[in-house]
Amino acid sequence: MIAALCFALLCALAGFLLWMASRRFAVKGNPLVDEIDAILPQTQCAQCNYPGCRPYAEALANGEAEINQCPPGGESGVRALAELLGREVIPLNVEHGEAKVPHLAIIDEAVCIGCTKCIQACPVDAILGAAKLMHTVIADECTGCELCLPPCPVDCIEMVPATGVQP
Amino acid sequence: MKETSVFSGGVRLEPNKVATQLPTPQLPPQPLYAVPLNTRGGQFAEPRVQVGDAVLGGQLIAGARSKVGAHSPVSGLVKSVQTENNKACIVIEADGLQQKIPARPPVHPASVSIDDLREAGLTGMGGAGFPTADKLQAAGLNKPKMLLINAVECEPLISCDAQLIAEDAKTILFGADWLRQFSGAYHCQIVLEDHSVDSHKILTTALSDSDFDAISISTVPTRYPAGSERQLVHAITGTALLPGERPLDKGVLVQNIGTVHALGHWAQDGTPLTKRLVTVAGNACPTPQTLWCPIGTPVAALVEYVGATEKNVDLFQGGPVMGQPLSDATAAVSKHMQCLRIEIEAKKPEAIACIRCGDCAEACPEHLLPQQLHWQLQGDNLPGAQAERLPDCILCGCCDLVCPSLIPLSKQFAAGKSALRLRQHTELRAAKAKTRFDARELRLEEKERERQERMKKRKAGTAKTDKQKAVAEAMARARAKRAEKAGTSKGDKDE
Repeated sequence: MIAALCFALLCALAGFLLWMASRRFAVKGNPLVDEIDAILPQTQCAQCNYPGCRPYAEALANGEAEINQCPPGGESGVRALAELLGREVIPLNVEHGEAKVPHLAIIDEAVCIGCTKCIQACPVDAILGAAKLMHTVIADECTGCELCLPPCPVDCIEMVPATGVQP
Repeated sequence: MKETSVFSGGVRLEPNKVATQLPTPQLPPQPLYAVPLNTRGGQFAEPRVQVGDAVLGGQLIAGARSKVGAHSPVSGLVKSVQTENNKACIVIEADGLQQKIPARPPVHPASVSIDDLREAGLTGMGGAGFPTADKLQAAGLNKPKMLLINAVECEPLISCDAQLIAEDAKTILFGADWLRQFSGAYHCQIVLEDHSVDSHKILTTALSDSDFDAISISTVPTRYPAGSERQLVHAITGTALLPGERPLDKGVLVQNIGTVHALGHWAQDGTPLTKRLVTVAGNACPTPQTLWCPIGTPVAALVEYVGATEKNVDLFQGGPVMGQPLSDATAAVSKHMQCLRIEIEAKKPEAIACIRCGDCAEACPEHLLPQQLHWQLQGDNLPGAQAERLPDCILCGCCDLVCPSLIPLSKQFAAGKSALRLRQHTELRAAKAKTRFDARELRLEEKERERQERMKKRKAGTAKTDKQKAVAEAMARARAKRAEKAGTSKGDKDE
C-alpha cells in the first residue's frame, strides 16, 4: 500500500516537472520555418505567389508549396531546400520567373511625379520620398524584387544589374 | 648581422634576381599615359579633371581627402576620362614639355595629417597595393612600437628593392625615420633577405653616414614567402600571428621599402607618387632589367623597350609564383605592379588527382591543410572550406610548388575565397532585408490595429448618441401622449 502510494506520488511529481519543463522551454512556432527562411534569399519579391519569404517558408513547412517556386534563390536554393526537406531536386518552375543576376531599382528622378505608390509597394522600405516630391531608391537596401514597377504611373523605375561585391 | 628565427612552412626558392644597373634605366617618354583610378580594397578615386584640361606633372587629377589620390605623371592634356568600373582611368596626352608642379620645402611629421598622405597617392608598393593612409590611420589607433621596413622580395626575379637601395638609399633612410616619427614607433628595422649582400652593404654604409639612431638593419633567411607581412612579423618577433590577427595588434607596423621611399620623396619636396620601379623579365625578355616607369605607362611600351619581339607571348603581372596573367593587352603600369613577366608558356602537364601525400600541409606557412581545402572546394562545399579556415589562406602558392600531382591549388583557393566573400555578402544583405521586411510588417500591423481601434471607437460613439436620441424621442412621445390625455380624454378612445 505504502509502495503504491509512493509510486503514485513520484509519478505525480515527475508529471508536474515535465509539464513545467514543457511550459518553460516551449519552442515558439515551427523551428523548420526558421530553417527554411534562412535559406530563402529574402528578396520579398512574392514571385512564389506568397506575400514574402516567410509565408513561403511556412507553406513549405506545411507541405503546401513546391521547392522550385523561388527564382531569386536559383538552382542552388532549390538544392539547399531539397536537402533540408528531404525532397527530390527539381528544376525551377518557369511560371514563377527565371533565375537572373541580382538587380537594383533606379528611379529616373526627372520623370518621377512623387505619387508615393512605389514607396507603399516596397517590401523593405528601400524607397525614400514624400508626396509630390521626388523619390529615390536606397541602393544598399534594394533587393531587386521589382514590386515597385507595376504601381508606377509614369514608368520611371528601371532595373539595372547590381554591381557585385568588391574584392 | 642579427640572426632571426624562421617562420613555419614555406619553400626554398632560387632567387634568380635581375642584376641591378646604375644609373637606373628610364623608359623613354610615351605619347599617352592611362593613369588607373582603382586601388585595391575597393576604392575608386573620383576624377577631378575634365577632357581637354591642361595638367602638369604631379598634378592631382583624381581622388584626395577621403580617397587615395591619383596624379598625372607628365604635363599634357586630358584626353579621356573613363569611369567604367573595372578599367577606370584618366588618359593623359603628353605635351613633351615635362613641366612639373613646383616643389615645396620639407614637411615635419607632426604637421602632416592622414588626409595629406592620402592626397599624396601613396599605396603599398609590394604588390598588394593597400592604401598607405588607411594602414597608418589604423596604426594611429594601435600605437605601434616597431616599424618594419619590408625589403624582402621573396619571389624570384623581382628586384625592385635591390635596385631602389642601390640608387637612393638616402631617401629610403629619410623616409623610414620620417615614418617612424609619424607613426610614433620607437624603433625602425629594415629587413632584407640574407642573400642580398650588396643591398645590405649599401644600406649599412648609408646608415653609418647618417644620424638616424633609431634605425637598424636585419636579415631573414631566404625562404619563400618571407616577404609576406605575417611571415615577416613571425620571423622578426619570433612568435606567429594568430589567425585573423594583424601585425598592428602586436604593435608592429609593416611598410614596403618602395612605399617608404615614395613617402620620403613626398616629405622632402612634395613629389607625389607618379612613378615606380618595375622589373621586366621572363623567358621571352631578351634584356631583363628593373626600370623607372611612370604610373599609367602602357605595358606594350615596356615590352617594346626591352626588345621582346616574339609574337605569341603571355604577359603576367607579378612574380613566377603569385603572378597573375594580364588579360588586357592595353593594361597600364599600376602602383602595385612590381614585375612584368613576358613568357612563352611551356605546355604544362595535366594535373592529376590528389594522392593525399600531405606535402602541401607541410609547406603551408599558415598551418592550413590544403588537401582538405581542395577536397571541400571540389565538392563546392563552402561552409566546409570555411571550417577548414579558407579565409586564412594568404594565397602564397607554396602548396602549388610542392604538389606532386600539379594541382593548381592556390587558384582554386582564390576562387573559393571570393565565392565565400560573395556568399557572406549575400547572407548579410538577406539578413538586412529580412529585418527591414519584419520591421515594415510590424509597422503595418500596428497601423492596421490603430485604424481598427479608431473605427471601433467611432462606432461606439455614434451608438451612444443613437441610444440617447432614442431615449429622448421616447420621452418626447410619452410627454406628448400625456399632454393629449390631459387635454382630450375622448379623442383617446377614438384613436
